[in-house]
Amino acid sequence: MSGYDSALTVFSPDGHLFQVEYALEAVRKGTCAVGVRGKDVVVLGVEKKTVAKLQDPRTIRKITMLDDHVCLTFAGLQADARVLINKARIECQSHRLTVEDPVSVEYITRYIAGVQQKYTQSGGVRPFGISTLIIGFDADKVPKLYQTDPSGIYSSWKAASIGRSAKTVREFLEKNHKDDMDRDDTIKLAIRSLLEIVQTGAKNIEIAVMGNDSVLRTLDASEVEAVTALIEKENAAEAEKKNKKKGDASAAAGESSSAS
Amino acid sequence: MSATNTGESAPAESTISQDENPLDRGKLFQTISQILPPADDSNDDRAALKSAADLTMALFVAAMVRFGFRFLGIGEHRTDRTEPTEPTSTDAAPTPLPSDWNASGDMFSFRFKHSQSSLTFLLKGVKVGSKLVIHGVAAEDDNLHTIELSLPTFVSPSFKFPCGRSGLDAAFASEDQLYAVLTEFRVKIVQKLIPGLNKPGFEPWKNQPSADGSSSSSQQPDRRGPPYFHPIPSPETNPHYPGQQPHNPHGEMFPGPHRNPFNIGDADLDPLAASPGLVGYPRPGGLAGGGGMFVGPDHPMFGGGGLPRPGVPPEGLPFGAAPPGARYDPIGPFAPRGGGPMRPPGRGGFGGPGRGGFPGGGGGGGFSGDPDNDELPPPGYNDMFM
Repeated sequence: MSGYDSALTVFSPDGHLFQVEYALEAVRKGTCAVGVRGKDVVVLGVEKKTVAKLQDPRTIRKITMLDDHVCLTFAGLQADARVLINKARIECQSHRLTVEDPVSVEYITRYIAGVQQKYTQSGGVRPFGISTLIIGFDADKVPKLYQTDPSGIYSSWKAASIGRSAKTVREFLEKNHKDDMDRDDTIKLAIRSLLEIVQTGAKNIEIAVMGNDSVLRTLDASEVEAVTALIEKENAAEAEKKNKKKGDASAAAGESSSAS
Repeated sequence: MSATNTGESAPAESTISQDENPLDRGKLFQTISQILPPADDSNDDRAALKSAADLTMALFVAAMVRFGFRFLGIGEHRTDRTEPTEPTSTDAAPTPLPSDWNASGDMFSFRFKHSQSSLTFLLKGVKVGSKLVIHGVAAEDDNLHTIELSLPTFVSPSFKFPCGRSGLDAAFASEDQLYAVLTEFRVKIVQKLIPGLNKPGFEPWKNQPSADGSSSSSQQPDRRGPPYFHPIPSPETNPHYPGQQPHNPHGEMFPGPHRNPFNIGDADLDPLAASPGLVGYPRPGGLAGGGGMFVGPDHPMFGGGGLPRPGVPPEGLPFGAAPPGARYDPIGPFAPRGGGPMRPPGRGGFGGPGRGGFPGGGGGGGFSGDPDNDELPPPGYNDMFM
């Protein structure tokens, strides 16, 4: 405790707002969420927590709708997320009422980021302990993916990840993302990236897909399992191919060595 | 003892009986008056003793005479007494001191012989401020023996000097003090000068006078019979009382509060232990004092002093806020005490019977406002993240 993190609005001498950085730590404690943009599709994938045996899993929602065409997922403090989502939904309806148009994805993202920023510059409050991924389609039928942080930053991504092990997932996405992926490839990439860090496999992965008709569809567990099985098969084939290649190479090396 | 007496000292028995104490108080004062120089024109009897140092030195000289020493003279060479061919007259009528024995006022020097030794003994006293230092040496031996005593505490401050040879009883501050000083003189000087002094009633004292029959008290000057315990044993001569010595009429059988804490249950042998105040010495803490059969966490054998000191309030209260002996329940939260891990709350209220309220010794106070970081987090503590 240096004294610069007791009051939120006090900078540390090197320009840090420690409470905001602690909020980012809360984000890192949340489960992982990824968003991947395809050619005419955008996919959200999240790592589901195993619910208690008697708990109703439908009340544990990590992927929520803000409006008919905008969907949000988050990582961090669940209760903070609920409050922020509520504010965003109200803004969506307010926007519809005021300008008789649905919100654009960027607009609602900017609004959410604005709320988050307010909570870093006011007295008696603390920042929201969440980062969000916001997907949606505007009238231009172009898939959108935005990310916001507790500090109030927002930015657009082709593929993004937040929460626990977000860095590992981001590196995977950077390696494997291609432009203009079709729907299946986008879903597959989202699941593959999550499988990097979700040990328990398909049953703890939830996928939501939004096409350019702006309809969000959450994949059934069986669909996710089918994709997971396909991925495992491909991985096995890949490994076998590698092994074979290696075996051929070593055999060739052995022949050449025996010939000589 | 008398069986080993030589013929030389046999006449002494005419005046000193077999088992009589040579330092008997009445006889000692009588000897003092005998050795003081006789009154004449140049020597006023009412000013025979001019100061407390004079009185004290006369006392020691009288004690030497009572032990059978013959006074030869003052100084190292002067002869104030014709050496008799027959040493028999020593005890019957001790040689009076010359009239200038206390001339210097702060330096005294006497020379003695003893019938059981061929050595010449020198007894010197030097008054240094309020202290009197007594040196004893055998002239042919190099070992110097010294005691020192404080005159203002030894001689009653209300006693007026100069004084005559009568009424000296009132001169000394207390009987016990007189007894203690004579004991020290005997043990540290006389017995050192003549280790095997063979005198009726004289048994060499170890540093433990309590078992010696010669320690008769003033109330019973002529008491004879079996040894008994001196009412107030000296702390340094009786190792049983390392601290202050309580009045303990039981002798050694029932130990006082300063007993060995490892003697579990020894207080149960004391039929009067349950009624403190009757016996005279206080028993702080009652059962928790360590004497009984209860061995709790506050027992003295575990160190740390489990008993709260009376008058010292518990932690967090100003001094004097607690009346002596008051009991307090813990008032918290307190910062954890040094050393020892913090205990989960709930432990703090425990205390042995008769205790001040705080668990002493063991370690942490158990009343910290901070969470216990060793405790595992409750299940579901991480559920707020998603």
